Amino acid sequence: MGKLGRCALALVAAVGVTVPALADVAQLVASDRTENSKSGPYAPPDIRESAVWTPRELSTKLDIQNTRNEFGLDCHSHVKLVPSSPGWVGLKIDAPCRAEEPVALRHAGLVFDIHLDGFGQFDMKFPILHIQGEIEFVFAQDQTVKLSAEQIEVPGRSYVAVAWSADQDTWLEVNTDAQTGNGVLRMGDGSGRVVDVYALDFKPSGPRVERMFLRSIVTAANCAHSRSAKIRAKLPNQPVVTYDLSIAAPGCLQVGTSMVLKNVLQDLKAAWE
Amino acid sequence: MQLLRCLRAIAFCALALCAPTLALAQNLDVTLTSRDGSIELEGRMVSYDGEFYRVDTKYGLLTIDSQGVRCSGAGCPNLDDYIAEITLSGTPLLADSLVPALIQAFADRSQYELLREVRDDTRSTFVLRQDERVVARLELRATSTSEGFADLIAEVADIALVFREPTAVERNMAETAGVGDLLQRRQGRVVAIDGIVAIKSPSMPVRDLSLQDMSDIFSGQVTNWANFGGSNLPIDLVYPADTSGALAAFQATVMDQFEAELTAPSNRFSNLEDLADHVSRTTGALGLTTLSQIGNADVLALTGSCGFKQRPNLASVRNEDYPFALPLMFYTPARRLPLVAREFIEFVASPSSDTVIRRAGLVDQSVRSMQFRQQGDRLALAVQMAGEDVDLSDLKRLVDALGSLERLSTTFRFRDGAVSLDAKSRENVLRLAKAMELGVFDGRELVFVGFSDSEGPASANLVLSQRRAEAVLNLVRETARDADLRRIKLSADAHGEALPMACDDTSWGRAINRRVEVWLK
Repeated sequence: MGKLGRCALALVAAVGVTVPALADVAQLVASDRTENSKSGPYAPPDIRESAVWTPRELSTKLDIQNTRNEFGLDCHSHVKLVPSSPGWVGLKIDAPCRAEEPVALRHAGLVFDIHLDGFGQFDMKFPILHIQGEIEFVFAQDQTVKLSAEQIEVPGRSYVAVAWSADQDTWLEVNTDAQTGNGVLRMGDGSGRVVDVYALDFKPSGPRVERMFLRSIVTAANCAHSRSAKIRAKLPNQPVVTYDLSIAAPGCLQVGTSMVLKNVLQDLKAAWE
Repeated sequence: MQLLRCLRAIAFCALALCAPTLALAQNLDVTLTSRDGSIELEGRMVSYDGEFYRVDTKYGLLTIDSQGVRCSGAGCPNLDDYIAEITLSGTPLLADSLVPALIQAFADRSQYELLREVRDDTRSTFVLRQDERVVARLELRATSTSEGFADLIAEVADIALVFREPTAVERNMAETAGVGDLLQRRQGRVVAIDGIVAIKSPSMPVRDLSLQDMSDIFSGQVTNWANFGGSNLPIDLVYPADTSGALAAFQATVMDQFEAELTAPSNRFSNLEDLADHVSRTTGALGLTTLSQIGNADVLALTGSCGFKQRPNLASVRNEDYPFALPLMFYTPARRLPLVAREFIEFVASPSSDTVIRRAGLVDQSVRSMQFRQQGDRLALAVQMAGEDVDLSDLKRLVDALGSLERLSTTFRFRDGAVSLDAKSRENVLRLAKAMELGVFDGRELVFVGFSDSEGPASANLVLSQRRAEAVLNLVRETARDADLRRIKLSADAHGEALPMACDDTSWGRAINRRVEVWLK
């Protein structure tokens, strides 16, 4: 060890000082701690994260105790899952005594808000986004109903879902062709949280890329606020990706403009090597 | 007194080596005191990476283990609240899609929660959290290769995302600024491979073009598709923005061969997705882009005057049979990066990221093998080009030697003629050496096979290609220090100009043909 190294050794002993890039004192320079990093083998997540329901109807009852309301109306209520096309299920709520009541629907970590109609009914076609496809209905007073069923896997299923915390002015768009007949489905009645879903349920005959982007209209009401969303995406032959997204406030000088974000979401590439 | 002399000596060296990194200075005073209180060191805090202080003192710039001292003063960071700030800047080919996917995979592997804060289409910040605490913020800026290098040199970026090696000017600037020699110390790492391609609408019935055709079209000398068997439509040229760097690469690799200049296009797109969408919808359009960004357009195969034909796809780029490969790289400064940044780079360079890279439509660096019978096109070309210098007996020797072997996807090429390996080949050395160390080839023989172009006498070319093969073999053996060489046999062989991959009538074609392949016995 040279003189400089001995000096450095004395110094380090005294105050723990180290100097980079000097060969003589290399052993005194802080060790590169990458060996302590999480360098173990990385197993990519399982990609079999897509499913459809078995083709049978499921239902559960609500309001069993109060069978009649003050007007003598039969209050027996049902929540049903009805078989639909692969990857989709029909949701039906029939709650005569809960007219116009708000309901939150949760699935795959995403949530959107709807209202029952004047007859206490709700009906929609719903895309399944989770292999453990459980759908939770949260009624007034946090009364919660859960439905889940056996599933079969559909590995070719792809989708992108964007759950907006409370934003009617930003949405998911897809540049697609007419072959699929698919479009972006906005779930939620606009009273609160909404979920935009684009689902591709079959493998196309050849390679195809569908562009995913987010569009936002800047208004006086939203220009000073960032937008929050939760992304859940299942692209072909890939594992499910979930993450939180925050889009910076565009600034009120931008009011009246449309903001397009093309690079936030990965495009849906339907075939590759 | 002795301590002061030591400090001066170290300060001198440290200042010389590290002074340029003062650009990061927070310029707040600190006093560092040894744990026993016997020594105090005053200075200005430059940075803290979660483990080490960098302090500008009267003895120079010093890096000090935070565990060994107590820090007092306005510049002292809160050790418990340290958040690694890492900035990545460079080409959208990496920044738009691959790097976000790599960050997601890294967060997943490291069990970080991830929040992506989007400012606009070119700027995002990825916030990594663990146990409710922010661990790191990775700022990602989609700029260009040139801006990536500029940001790295100016120390406003920690990682430059680029698809070419630095120019001589950039290297000089980096050395002057103290960032280090960008071609040394493994500061540049190839992350993935893309390729430059020409694309057209699926409705235009042309399937391939030769280099000469491309030069004629892109220089504006030929302007109608009918000249190439297509519809009678004018050729509508579509280019990426000048800043993309793809144009410069195309000019250098194709147009310069024919002493031609790119003519003005009818459209330019700063976003390669928009470019591909325009071309796929416009029958007369011909666009220049990269393989990962072809969208729904058709990619044109490349033909040569000697019968060579190569369709660009992930397989041909991986095997380096398609010539216009574009290595996508990370460049880092010589200074120490925060732990999270080093872990991220380690993750990206590891086989763990290969799946993520393939999913982004790019070619990863994994070493793969293929049977000799899958070399049919190359062999057909070799037979077609056989003549006085290389006769059928040479080809028979080649088939005898390689017919029962598997070719690895690893190929070595040389930056300046035969002097030094290019960036992709340097990465290949590391990857191959790592695989040897992991025992991937235990019980097998790796044959390094040299090939040459056809300039000069065939006998001299045979000798030259043998020397190149031996040189690469020695380099790989020296790099694979931990490999058990009792379990792997290494040998070198050469076949001169017997198996060309491109026509030898251009300097580009000759450069492609000068190579060392690796075959597995």
